[in-house]
Amino acid sequence: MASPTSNEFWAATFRARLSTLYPIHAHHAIPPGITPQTAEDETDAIKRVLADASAWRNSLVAPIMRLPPEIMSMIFEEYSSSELSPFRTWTTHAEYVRFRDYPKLIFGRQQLGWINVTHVCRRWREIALSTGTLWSVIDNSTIPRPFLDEILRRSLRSPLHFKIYTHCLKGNLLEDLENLIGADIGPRVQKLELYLSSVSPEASARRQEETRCLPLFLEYLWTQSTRVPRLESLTMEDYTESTSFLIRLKTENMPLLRSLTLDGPRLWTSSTVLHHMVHLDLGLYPDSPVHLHEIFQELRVVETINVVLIIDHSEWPSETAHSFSPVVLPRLTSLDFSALHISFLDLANILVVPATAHIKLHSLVRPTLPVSPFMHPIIRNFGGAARRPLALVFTTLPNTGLVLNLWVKALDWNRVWSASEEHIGCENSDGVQFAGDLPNFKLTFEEDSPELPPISRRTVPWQGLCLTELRDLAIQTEFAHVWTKHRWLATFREANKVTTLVARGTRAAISLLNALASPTIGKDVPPPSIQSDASLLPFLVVSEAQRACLGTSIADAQWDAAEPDALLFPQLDTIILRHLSVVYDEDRKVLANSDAFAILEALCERLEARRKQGAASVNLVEIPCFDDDQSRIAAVVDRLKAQAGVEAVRVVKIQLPAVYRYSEA
Amino acid sequence: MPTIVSVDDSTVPGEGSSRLLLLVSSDNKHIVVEEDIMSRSRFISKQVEGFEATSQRHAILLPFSSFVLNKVIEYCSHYRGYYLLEDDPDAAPPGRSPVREWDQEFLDVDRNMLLRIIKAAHYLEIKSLVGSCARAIADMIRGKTTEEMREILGVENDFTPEEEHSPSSKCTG
Repeated sequence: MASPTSNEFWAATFRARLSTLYPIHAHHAIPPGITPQTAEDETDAIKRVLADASAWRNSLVAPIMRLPPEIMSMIFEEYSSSELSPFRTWTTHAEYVRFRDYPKLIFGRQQLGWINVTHVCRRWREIALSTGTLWSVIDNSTIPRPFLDEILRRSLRSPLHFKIYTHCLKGNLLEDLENLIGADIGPRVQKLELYLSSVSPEASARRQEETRCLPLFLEYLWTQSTRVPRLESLTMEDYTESTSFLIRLKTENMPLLRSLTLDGPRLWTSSTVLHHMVHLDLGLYPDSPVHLHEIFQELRVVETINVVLIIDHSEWPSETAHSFSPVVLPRLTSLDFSALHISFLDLANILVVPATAHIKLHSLVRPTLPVSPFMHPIIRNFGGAARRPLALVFTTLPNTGLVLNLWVKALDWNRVWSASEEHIGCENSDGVQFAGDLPNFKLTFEEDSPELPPISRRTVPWQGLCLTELRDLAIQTEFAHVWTKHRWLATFREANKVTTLVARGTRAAISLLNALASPTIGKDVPPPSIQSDASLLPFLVVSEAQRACLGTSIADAQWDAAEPDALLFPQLDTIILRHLSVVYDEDRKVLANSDAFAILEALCERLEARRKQGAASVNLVEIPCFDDDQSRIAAVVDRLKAQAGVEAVRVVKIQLPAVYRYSEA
Repeated sequence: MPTIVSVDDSTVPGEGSSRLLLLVSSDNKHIVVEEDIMSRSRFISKQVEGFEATSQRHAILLPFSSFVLNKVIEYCSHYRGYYLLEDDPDAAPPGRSPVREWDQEFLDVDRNMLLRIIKAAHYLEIKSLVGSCARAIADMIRGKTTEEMREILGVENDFTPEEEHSPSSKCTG
């Protein structure tokens, strides 16, 4: 028997559905007995039929509808679980790249943006509503109180993850807490996070309430084995300094508790709890190294440790003042340790960890610190010389000189797989990942800090970079305050595998051009003239400190007579100059128009001179230009090709919004 | 369900240091692959265990095209010898599998291909690949409005007006 045509199929379907309805035509008189309710019922029935038809169409046409429900659940769980805290940090570069452009949905209630999937179609809604784990995160800062019960209902019997922010509980604190995690809910709680209000004058009354109620609530939770028997992970964060909480956990009432996060200056737990912890995350203001040592001594089965020590270095006694016994952590796989200063040394000195453990050290670097902990031999030899490489993260005020010096040390150790720099007050930096022993090593020097006085950079002792494998060099500043010219030479003399140079900004370009010169090649490139009219790209935004830099010549311009006259970067293949050279202030007002063409002419001179010295020709030069600079740029291009032997010149045309054009200034 | 058929000795390459499997796609392409490579697939592993009880050599018929199968084999080949927690049947399932850069590039394919790969991975019980695909699809719809999701995935609104404004009605029973 032949299959029905589409028309036949739908006609039969609708006829069956509509057969019980009255025939409706606009010109028909309303049949007797039809009430408004009847008409509405019929309308609803027709809408339902149409909706069913759409559902069938989806099943037949949309490929995603043919995925099994369990896969759709996984997709929804992926979507929902990636909408995490706005304070999350990225554990991998890939993760950072994945989320950096993600709209700011993660803030506030838009954290629940994934719920949109329940509005796409019936099938998605059915799947989402039958996937209890999707609804198992109960966050009272994002879910309004009236909907909490509904969310709990949708969580079915899934284990629950509570995130409770006390500032969102407006009533009686203890009652609210006990209502949230009542006798019926407690046995399902697998993770519990408690965030205490930050204290402020107007919140002091509330703070007193918390001080009174929270210990009671905690007692309520874990004084009976039936309250939260399945609790596996507990987090408490309290950034106020006014009150201490001793977290009296009773492990016999929480036999599954294996993960503990206590983040705050005055949160402590009893030592027996630490015996069972597999994951430990502590943010501490330890009273002394002795206290820290005591904590580590209690750990028996820990696999991952994340500790942030918050203490002013001046309060921390010298490591030589204590004599600790070793702490052996045989199961450790990951140690993530942040500290300001030499508390590193105390820890590194006593920890005995497996050689396979992944160690990541963070240090806040400040100009006032006399020495970085990373420069200490104890850290250098942490875990033994043969152990796997370290990962270092420098948290610093933007201060190129200081950070560079740390990188120098790290590279010298030849143990670092990743070093990144995070600036306080700046957005999460992309970081600079490099490895001293990899051929594709890339070093990027960040822009100088306008906030710091130059003196702090001058005082940095320079040790020399280990750059024998460097291929790409990108700089975004001029290091007159850090590197005098002979240091440029000393630094880059061994970097003879560099093939690509990238300079962003006028001063960076001058630095690079001077580095391209040898003692036998002419004079220095002068600093930019602030009177010139020529301009290319106004991306530099400067503050007072940088303005001062512009007016100075490059310090220590005298060539060191002992320097060899070999050319630097003998394998140079590509030069990229960007962001030349109008200088704007913070308000995007033109401060100075430096002479970009003087820089480009200097580039021509340098390359011509290098060619005469026997250096191989550069294959590619990239320079920027405005539309109205084209005739002058054409002359530069011709010169680069004809006289400097450059194979290709890429001119990047810059289209700027009118507001940025210097002519408006 | 897969069909296991007996094949001639000539169809399956000879025994070497690593045993070879013959996979037959829905478009009847015969693909020979080392057993080691496909051991990440729980489905294949179970099939191979079944083979060991008999002396016959077998081919495994799979209900997806050779194009998709080759992609899956490419994935398995890349992670040959790697330990991935999600694929460990004895390990506790991780909450979320880590983002792997290679996977992101590997799954940079068109939407229909991505859906085919996830179905194949699900069928073959390769949890790590299913997880990566699920993440890729979630990335596709992340931050989108309902209308945008429908447009991207070719789905029609099949709610009645009442249902549309009442998420918990009807569907939850």
